[in-house]
Amino acid sequence: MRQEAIYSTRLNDEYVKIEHDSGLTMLLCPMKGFSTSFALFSTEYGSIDVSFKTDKEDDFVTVPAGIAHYLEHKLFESEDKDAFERYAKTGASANAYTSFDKTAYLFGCSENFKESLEILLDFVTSPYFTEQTVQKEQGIIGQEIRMYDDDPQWRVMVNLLEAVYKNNPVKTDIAGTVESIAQINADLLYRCYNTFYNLNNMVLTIAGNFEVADVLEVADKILKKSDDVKVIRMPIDEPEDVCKKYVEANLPVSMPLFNIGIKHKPSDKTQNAKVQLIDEMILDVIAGEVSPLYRRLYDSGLINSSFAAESFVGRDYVMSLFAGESKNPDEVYRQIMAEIERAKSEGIDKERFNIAKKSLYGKYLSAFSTPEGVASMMQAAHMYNFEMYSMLDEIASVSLDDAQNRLNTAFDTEKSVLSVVKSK
Amino acid sequence: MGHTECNFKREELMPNVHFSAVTDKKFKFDRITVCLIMPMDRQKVTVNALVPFLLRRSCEKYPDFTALNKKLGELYGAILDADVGKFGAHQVLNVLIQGIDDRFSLENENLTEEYAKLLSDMLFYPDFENGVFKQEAVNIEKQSLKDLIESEINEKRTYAISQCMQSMFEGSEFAVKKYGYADEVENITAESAADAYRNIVENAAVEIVCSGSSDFNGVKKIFADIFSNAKKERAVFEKKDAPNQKNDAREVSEEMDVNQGKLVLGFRVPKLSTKREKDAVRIMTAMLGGTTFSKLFLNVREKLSLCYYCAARYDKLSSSVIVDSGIEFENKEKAQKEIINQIKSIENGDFTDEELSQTILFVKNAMNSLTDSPSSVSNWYLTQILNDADNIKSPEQDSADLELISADEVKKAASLLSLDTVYFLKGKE
Repeated sequence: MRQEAIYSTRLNDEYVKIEHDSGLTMLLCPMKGFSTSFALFSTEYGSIDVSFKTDKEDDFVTVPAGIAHYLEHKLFESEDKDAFERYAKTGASANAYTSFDKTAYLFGCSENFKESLEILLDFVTSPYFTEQTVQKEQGIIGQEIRMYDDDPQWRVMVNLLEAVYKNNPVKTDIAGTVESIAQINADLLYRCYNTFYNLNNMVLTIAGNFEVADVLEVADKILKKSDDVKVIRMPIDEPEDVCKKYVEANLPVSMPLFNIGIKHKPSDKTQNAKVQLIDEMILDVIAGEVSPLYRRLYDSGLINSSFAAESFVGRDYVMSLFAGESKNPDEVYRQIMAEIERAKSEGIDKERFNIAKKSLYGKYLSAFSTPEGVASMMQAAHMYNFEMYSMLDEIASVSLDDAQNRLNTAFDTEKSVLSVVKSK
Repeated sequence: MGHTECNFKREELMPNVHFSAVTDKKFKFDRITVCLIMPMDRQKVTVNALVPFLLRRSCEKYPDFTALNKKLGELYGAILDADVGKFGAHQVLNVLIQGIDDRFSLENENLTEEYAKLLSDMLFYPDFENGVFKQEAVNIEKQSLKDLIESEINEKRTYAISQCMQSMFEGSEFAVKKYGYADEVENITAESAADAYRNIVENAAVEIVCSGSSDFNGVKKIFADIFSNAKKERAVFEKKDAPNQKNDAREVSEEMDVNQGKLVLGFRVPKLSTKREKDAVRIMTAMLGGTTFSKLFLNVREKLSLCYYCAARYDKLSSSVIVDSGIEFENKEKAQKEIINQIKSIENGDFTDEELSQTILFVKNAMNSLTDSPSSVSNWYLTQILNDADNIKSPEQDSADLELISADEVKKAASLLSLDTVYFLKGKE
């Protein structure tokens, strides 16, 4: 076991990084004065991981869309008691989520921390599926899919991704479709589990009110050494161009909803995460609440306070996203693209860049202020292979030139898509 | 248990203007919320709802949206927010600011007092021209309010719950919508908005609630000074009970172009006089559908596979329990029957001591976690103040009472529910 303390002079905070003998990496941040602790047990496995093999296998396998999410649901069950029933004894509030590139199991509690942690480590490392239990989940997840089908915010985004990406599986809904999940069976679930739920591919992050020694005691008791199996993902051959410039769907909404995406070329995942910080500053300068563009759009009634711009980044994708409601999404799209071209040719305003930088610093600082925020931040940083506290230094080090270069080289308005959801 | 230094203090700055602060050094942020509490008035609700959004937009010192947001950027992206809340028969207009504590500023700035000054500027020095809001600002914010009101149908789950509550409290202040009504937005003028503003600022009961790592002494002084110049006679806030009217399992349905049906059952609970009785309803509701080991989760979802969510919540103020679920259209009767069965099973005592103690533990844990962020601390104390300002409890103190609830009290609590309205949002035939 290797143990290392990581300290931030900026925040006067620290956490411990432990390489456990089982193969699991643990990032542990006890926080003084907090009453809750928050734990996340995560694997680098999300909805985009549909074609893969291990270094011990010859052939790639391609699995049905939505299986990572299905697996997340099914892991809560065991031959005896399901995990929720076990958590009931400790009072912890437990949940799980599957995103495009990761799956995480979590709990928050204010007492019985050790017992809750034992349940978490145990159920995630003890799969139990039968054809019957797998079948039962079809109805539940079917209704989860239906719920998202009726969610205009989600629809407008999934449609955007479908139009931006040709081959990248990020274009497929995380939960899959009613048809794709019908193909899932116990054997396929085991195949996915055995590939991705290897402790060497996972991370445990905990922050808040707990003792490091308690975590080690529980980990030693529950975790068995994993063979160091390497996951090999089928490389994604994604063109730089988008598939469609415009996509539209009908749902009952009061006003058309839009998502505008600009496709950027991804690099390795660490670089993607770093570039996200610069992109967030650029987006704030271009379309943030301080920008002339925002003012113009808002004052002419083309957007309302629901408008937001963000950087959408994962292991194999980088995209800039503008979202909101508008009577005239085409005009919003046109003005955003014109503003990007203007900022490229006339240059980014220095004062607004400095404000954007300060705002981003404040935003990231907020992530370091609660147990949930810290545990999530440690998880994300680990998965993208960088050190959590370095985020604040990265932000402080971005220069106006860096931002201008990035804008000029990566924000190609030709590689943009407008997605609209409106009433029939 | 973690050691918390949540020390809540509330004091009167002047009659019906109160200042409260909770200081905890573990926080990196400070948050200041100013609530202006007005009786819910069907005639004025829409114009009142516009006021916080006009205040958020600009003030005399930062006379346009861009200048104001630039100031916020300089304050490390401090969040300035205006919104409208509803507390039973009251409309609560609030403006709040949250930003990093002075300790973390890069240039040793005194940020917390800047936050307070900005809020007091917004409240008392609006961006007026000839004694009224600027016409352009009024036009834009009117459109934005109208959009907000109309966008309620975008979120089908919250829309369905709101429709059910509307039906339950039809005709009373409890049914008045907090943002008002889209068809009334058009008639608002710069003058009527300014009149509404003056009425609110002069007459509303005011609660200023601060939470974070600052001691907030400087903040208190800023608000004490500014309110000492304001009008001295203000409305007293008095909580009102929900009306006694009742529908007898009225069926309401609505058709929309949706993929999933939304079923909402609205139950009434008779007026309860003691906290103990209300605590029993709270625990019963959690046992029914507030946890992942609840009756509804285990039966409607896990056993029958009818849904992804089926949840119950208790609204103390309106004395109602709402159960909702997203289902296939054809499963409506089946789901409804099972929900009723599960309530009956609690009433009949079909639960173990372990289920009860686990439910209590879960609710307690959830309440104790509220002490870990400035926003949940603020919201907790604000609700405490509005509920009973003479009897304010910390989350720990309040949750300790839950341990006393017995199985018989939970059974009795379930027997109190009477089905008032069944609302169903279904697809178009």
